[in-house]
Amino acid sequence: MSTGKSTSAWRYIGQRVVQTIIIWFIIITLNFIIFRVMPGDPRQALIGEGLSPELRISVIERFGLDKPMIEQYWLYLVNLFRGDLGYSFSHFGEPVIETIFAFRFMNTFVLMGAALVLSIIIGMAVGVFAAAKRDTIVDTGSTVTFLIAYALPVFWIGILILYYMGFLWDLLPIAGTITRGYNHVNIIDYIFDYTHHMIGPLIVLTLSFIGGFYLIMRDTVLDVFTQDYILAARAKGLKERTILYGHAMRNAMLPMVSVIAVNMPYLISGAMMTEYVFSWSGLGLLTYNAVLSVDYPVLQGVFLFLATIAVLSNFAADILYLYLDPRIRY
Amino acid sequence: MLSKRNLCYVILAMFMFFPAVGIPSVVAQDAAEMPFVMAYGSDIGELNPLVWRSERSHWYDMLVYDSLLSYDDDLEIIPWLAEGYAVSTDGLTVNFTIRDGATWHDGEDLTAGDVAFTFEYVRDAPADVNYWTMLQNLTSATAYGSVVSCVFDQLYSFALHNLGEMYILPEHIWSAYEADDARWNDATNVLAHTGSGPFMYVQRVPDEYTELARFDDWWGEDNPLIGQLPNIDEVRIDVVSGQDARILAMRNGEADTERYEVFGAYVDEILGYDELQLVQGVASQWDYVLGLNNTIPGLDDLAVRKAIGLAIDREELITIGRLGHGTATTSAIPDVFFPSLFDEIGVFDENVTLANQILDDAGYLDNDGDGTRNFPGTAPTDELEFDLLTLSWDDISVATGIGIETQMARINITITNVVTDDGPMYDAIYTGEYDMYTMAHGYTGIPDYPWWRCHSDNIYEWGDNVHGIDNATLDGILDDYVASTPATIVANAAITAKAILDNVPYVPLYLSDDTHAIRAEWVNFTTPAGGPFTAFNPRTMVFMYDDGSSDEPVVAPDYTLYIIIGAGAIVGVIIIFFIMKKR
Amino acid sequence: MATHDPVLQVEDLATYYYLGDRELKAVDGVSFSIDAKRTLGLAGESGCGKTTTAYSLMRILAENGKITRGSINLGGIELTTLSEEEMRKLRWKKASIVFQYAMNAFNPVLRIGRQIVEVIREKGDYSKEEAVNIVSELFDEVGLKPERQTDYPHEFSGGMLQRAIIAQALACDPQLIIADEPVTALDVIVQNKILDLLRKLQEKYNLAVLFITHDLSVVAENCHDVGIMYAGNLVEVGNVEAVFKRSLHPYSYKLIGAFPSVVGPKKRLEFIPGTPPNLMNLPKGCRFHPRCPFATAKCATDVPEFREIHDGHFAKCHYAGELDLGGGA
Repeated sequence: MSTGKSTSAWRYIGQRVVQTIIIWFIIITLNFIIFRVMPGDPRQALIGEGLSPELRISVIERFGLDKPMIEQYWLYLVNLFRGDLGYSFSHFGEPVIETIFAFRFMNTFVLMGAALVLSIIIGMAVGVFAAAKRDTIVDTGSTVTFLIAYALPVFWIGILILYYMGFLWDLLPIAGTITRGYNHVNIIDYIFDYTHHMIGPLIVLTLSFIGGFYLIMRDTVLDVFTQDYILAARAKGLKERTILYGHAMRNAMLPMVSVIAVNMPYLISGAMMTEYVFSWSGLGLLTYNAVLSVDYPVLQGVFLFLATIAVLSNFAADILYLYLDPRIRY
Repeated sequence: MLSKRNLCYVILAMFMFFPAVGIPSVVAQDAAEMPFVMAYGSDIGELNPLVWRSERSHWYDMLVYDSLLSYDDDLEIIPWLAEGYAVSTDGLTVNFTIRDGATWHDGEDLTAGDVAFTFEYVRDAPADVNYWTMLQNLTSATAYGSVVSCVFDQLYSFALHNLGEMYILPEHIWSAYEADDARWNDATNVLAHTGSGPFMYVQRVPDEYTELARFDDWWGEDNPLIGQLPNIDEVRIDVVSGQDARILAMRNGEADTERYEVFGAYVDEILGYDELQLVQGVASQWDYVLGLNNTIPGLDDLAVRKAIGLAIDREELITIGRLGHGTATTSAIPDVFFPSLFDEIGVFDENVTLANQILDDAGYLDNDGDGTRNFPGTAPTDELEFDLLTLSWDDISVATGIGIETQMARINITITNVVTDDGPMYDAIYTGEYDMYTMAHGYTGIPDYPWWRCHSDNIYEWGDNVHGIDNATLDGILDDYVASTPATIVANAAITAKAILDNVPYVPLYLSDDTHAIRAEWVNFTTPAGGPFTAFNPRTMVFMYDDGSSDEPVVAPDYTLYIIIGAGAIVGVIIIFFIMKKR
Repeated sequence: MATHDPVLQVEDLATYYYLGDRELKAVDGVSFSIDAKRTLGLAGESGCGKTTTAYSLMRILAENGKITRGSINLGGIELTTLSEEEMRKLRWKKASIVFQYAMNAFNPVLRIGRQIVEVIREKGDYSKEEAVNIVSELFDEVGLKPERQTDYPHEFSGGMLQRAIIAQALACDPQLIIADEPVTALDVIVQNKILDLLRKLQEKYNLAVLFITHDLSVVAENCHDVGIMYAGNLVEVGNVEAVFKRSLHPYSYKLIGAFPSVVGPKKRLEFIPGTPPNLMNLPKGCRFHPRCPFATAKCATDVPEFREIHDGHFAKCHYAGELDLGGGA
């Protein structure tokens, strides 16, 4: 609480900011290099069906791919800081920044956010509960259930949901984020439609995420239970729920924060298969299509974005730790 | 602060909310009389009709914009937006007579002036718009009444085809903007997508759908070869990423067909579903070839290339590579695609005996007795063996490669199949560091491929002559072929096909057949080579109609699962609630 | 001992742990009582059942621990027959614990004040402000600055934490405080300060204190009565003076003898041969007999009774009062 402590905390934050910037800079450089040393030439992407060779060459010139490497790197950096990630190969003339952020990022963000929040909440609540009921049918049952859900391939669950809920029972739409060709009456109608389309991918993602969060939570809570302060809390005659969710969970959240932070970019890119199965137009599907069509500017943009998210979420985790665990002072 | 009790209520409400939200959108649907939904694996890349970069975009352009000419089922040129056309005897002037009464989607009249504008606009556009190269030889395009006269300063056999395929643009909309202006891809700008085609742009949500409606003032009824408006009143292009999802969407009526043909095991799967039909017996535009690198030892010898060409059993390759769904191509100008230019003289025969004889005569003998021929000379010389590149994602390419390996064994040439991906494949063929490859090239209606693939002018990085054939005589023949007049084109085509047969820069194998899955109720689609849904065949989308055979009684959506889930959730929440309360 | 009703009356308490199907008799037939303002020191070697006895009183045993027998009467309420929920409500209100390692007994991620406020509000009908005020008063009482209640545990020194944990123990006005090795982790000077504080507060609040320790010198200086435990049995109870000077049980005698006295004449330190028995496999008869120099055949077969030998001085030995344990006089 004293000024000395908060100064050192600020200094620590300052150090982490500098580190984060350096790491980010290294990453953007790697991001440039990787796409140039990968097998295959980005120019091959521009060879569409039925394009004449002259046309190909003029396209290559349009994208600046005939320039020397160093010049390309310089342009990449300069453009990056102007918020210009170049133009998509496969979406003619569309700036990559638009390709990523116009709507795809929001779609991914909403879906992933919902799945994450849902799986974290369920995973943590059930994890704490199972730990409290260790070795009972509740514990074993939920562990087995979530482990199975965790182990099942996302693609397969997705297809099953599509087949049964989408096709056989006609409950869910097969594809997309909205009903195609339907003009929504108002924003509420749109949200309902959107949510209806989100159910399928949401189930799949939640099922696949929940196991990890559940297991980590359960194990951490079991560990926390052996601590003296839990015994103290019990001796104090606190309600079991207060002990579980007020004392045990708060401590058990510390490892969770880093797990979530580290997984942040993985969770965004990890939605690729789900987005593909449900034609959910997000960053995962964009990446998938960009790989297929060798759309390097888009891939580069997406990777850059993911790397930035990774660096930022690690930074955020460190800052969050400062708040969650008062013992940490640098 | 949310109390625990309230939290329970929120969860309860959430579970009840989810089933509830499904109901309105399941019921709500637009009421088109005969909608047709085409499922795309990925979205249209660009709406700009001058820069389509894939067949997906091209198909959309074809519906919204008119071309002057089109093709019939034999891929012969027929009048389309143009009422008539004529090529001068010297081949340098092409005249089109533009149909009276054609209008743009915004109601303006379509005139010969629009056509002349389009040609000159494209000629003066940035170099990376489609048809730009060809139009650099266009001296002028001038409208005289309803006639547009296009004068070229250089003879080009397929000027008529090219001009005839180009999408005509409205001068009053395009003249003020550059060809690469962002507006032409703007999904919200309906005016920017004004064409004169059978369908007009209605709306689009990128990565979701593109909706088109029948253009009721289309000139189709005035064209004796058409005589009608499209039967379909709404065309929608939906994005459905996965093949499995697309089949499910077609089966439950959310889609009617999908952009590309189905392959492999999916073919049998489609055949097993009553609600779907499979387009069969029509060649697609995917032309599988055995590409040879004419510059490497062995393949630089015409005798070896000839022997390889003679040792190919196309029907067997079709069986192996495409499970029978393929059409053999025996010539560089195949009869199935370009019947009017085909000549027997250029046909590749199968003759293993002759192939062996040629190799023996050329001195390629198995002088070390290991079953593989060796290069001529005193033993031991290098083995006659080659690596064959195939594409891992393309089953047809891989299986065909295996077939070629066994067929080449018949003439004691050893082939090693190397399965690779796009990147390494293109790297290899464009840098000339490969022996052989098997993959598909695409055909359109314009038969100038031999020149692109075999002329020495195209041996440069990213050029089409990846075979590296450099033969002055062949160059002369190819130059003559693409600079024919209407009177000489047929003869020149025969000479070209023969020259390619004689030089064997590559070996044509077969066209993969179109195996489009389409809902069973759709009838009357046209079947030219390339298939009913190629980007150069607008007729299918005019003639095809839904015969109503699948009009299933409308069953109320079954909410059993919602009820089960909802009830389960409520019970679960109640149980949790009680457990918590009990503590 | 006094004749009025004691605050805590433990009668034949037995607590067993179950490991699989095996029984571990951690506490077996323990009886004692504590009056208000009095301190009972419970001493014995590690693993003799001191802490289990304490946890049994609060009924905060591990899941596999069970009170199998006996009664615990705390301020007139029989604890062993209460439901879990009733017991929960009684905890801290009737009896509280001063833990050994204060650092670990506070939740490291919650502010100390909050942890005390939490229990005050749980046990009584107080607003947050009132609870905070109570904590301030308590902090003042135990010699801590009230504003430090917003600190986290790691920001306190060991002695301060021990004071805070005493403040926490007093928070709900209990009748009994169980001090489980309250000063073991502290250095000697701080130890004395804390012990003084405890004594002062005991006097002020009429507390009965159950003082658990293995340090007999602390018992001698701080407790009115002392109970010696061995292998789950309470082998001797009496006032400090009596037990220390006139031990009735050979184990007590040896244990006290094994402890160096700072005052009094220098003696040779005794040591007890052998090791305490395995609680899952106890010897028949008197549990101490394998190590007892006075053991007879009877000791090996018959379990001795816990008898009152002198007024308020009990022992569990066949020959209590008959043996010459030398330390007499």
